Amino acid sequence: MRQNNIRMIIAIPLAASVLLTLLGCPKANPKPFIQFSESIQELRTGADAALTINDEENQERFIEQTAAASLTSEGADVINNLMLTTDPRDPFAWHMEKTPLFMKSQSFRSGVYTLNTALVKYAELLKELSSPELLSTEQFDDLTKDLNANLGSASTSLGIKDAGKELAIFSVAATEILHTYLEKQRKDALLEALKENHDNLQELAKRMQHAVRLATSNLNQNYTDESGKLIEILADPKTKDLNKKKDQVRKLVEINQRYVHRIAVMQALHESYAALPRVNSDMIKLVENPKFGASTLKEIFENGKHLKNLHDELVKAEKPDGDTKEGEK
Amino acid sequence: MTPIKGITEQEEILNTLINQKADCYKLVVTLKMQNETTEADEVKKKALVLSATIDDLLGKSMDEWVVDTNALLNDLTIVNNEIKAAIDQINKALKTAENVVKFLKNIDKVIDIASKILL
Repeated sequence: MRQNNIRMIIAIPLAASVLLTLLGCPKANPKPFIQFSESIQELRTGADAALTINDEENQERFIEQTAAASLTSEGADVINNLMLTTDPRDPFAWHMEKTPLFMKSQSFRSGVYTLNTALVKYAELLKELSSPELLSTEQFDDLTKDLNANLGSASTSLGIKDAGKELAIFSVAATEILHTYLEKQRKDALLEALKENHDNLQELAKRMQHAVRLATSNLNQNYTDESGKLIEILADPKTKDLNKKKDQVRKLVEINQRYVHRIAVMQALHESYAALPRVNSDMIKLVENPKFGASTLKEIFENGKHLKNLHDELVKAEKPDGDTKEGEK
Repeated sequence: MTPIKGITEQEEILNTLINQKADCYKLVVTLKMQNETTEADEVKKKALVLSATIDDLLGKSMDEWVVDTNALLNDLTIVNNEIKAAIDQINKALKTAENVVKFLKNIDKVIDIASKILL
């Protein structure tokens, strides 16, 4: 009787196991998700670095404009604006008559960073969900071993002979079913996350591209003011010293090179964000069919690497030996 | 030139103002080179007014961007929580399986003790 029961116990999970295997549940390939996660982190770093430079230049421009305005007869408002006021009913609230751009751009940068962080988190969770560590073979091997040891000794205690082999098959089948079931659950969860988030990613891509374009306009605003000031100095007819003129031209050439480089960073950011919805679509196809060749994943990964290089060069150009280019400000 | 996809009217106005400011600076140079200093100063004043207007418009656009993004941030947080829940569920299932094995191990011990008494 006991032997028959054991056979029943073995037969059911074995049949279920065969069924699940026939249904097919290939493991999710974690590599694209790792690449995606790395690229998104590069995007966050690149965007934050580009926006930080804008903030610093906005602040510098504010200082310069306020100081210049304080020398004029209409400078009273500009000077008074420097004094913050508080709310009598709220001692923690402070107020500035006219919030300068650098303060707005700082809060804008913080908003961009927060949204990027949500995207980084999304990419990391997808990576975790696709990671082989989540359902490691070792974990299931240990489970099978434990199950074998327990059932084996129990049957011996109960005096059932020769049941060890069948019980071992039972334990392997049981853990395989669990493994297959969880593998399917993992794949379903991945697909659901990717599909459910597709509209959000499309919206995010649009918003981030908008943010990058705004930051580029901010860059252009700062550049034209800096460049405008320098070409005016160069055009001063009173200066006749050729070497001085050469220095001024050299400075303008350097500023132009730096500007072109920063525009390239902005463009790489804009293109990377534009690629996000396509990447998400390709990841859906990839989970559904592991043989699918997702070219966009390579594209965003290459963009991420390109962005990192541009960003590294930019940092080097902006901060030689760790200092800002004070002389140019 | 083809406009970039998705660019808004407000952005186009902003960029046009920046270009006009650049034109002002160039005109200042031309006037200075012709020794028309009074006119050059007038144009420069215009450039500074334009710069302040651009700053205002940039600040306004940035403020609007931050406000408009809040809802999206909430949606993303919800999706992230759902993925985390899925991971937790898988981990929980694994933990349950381990607990079942532990439970069997305890039953095993009881059977072992009982069988010794029965013998």
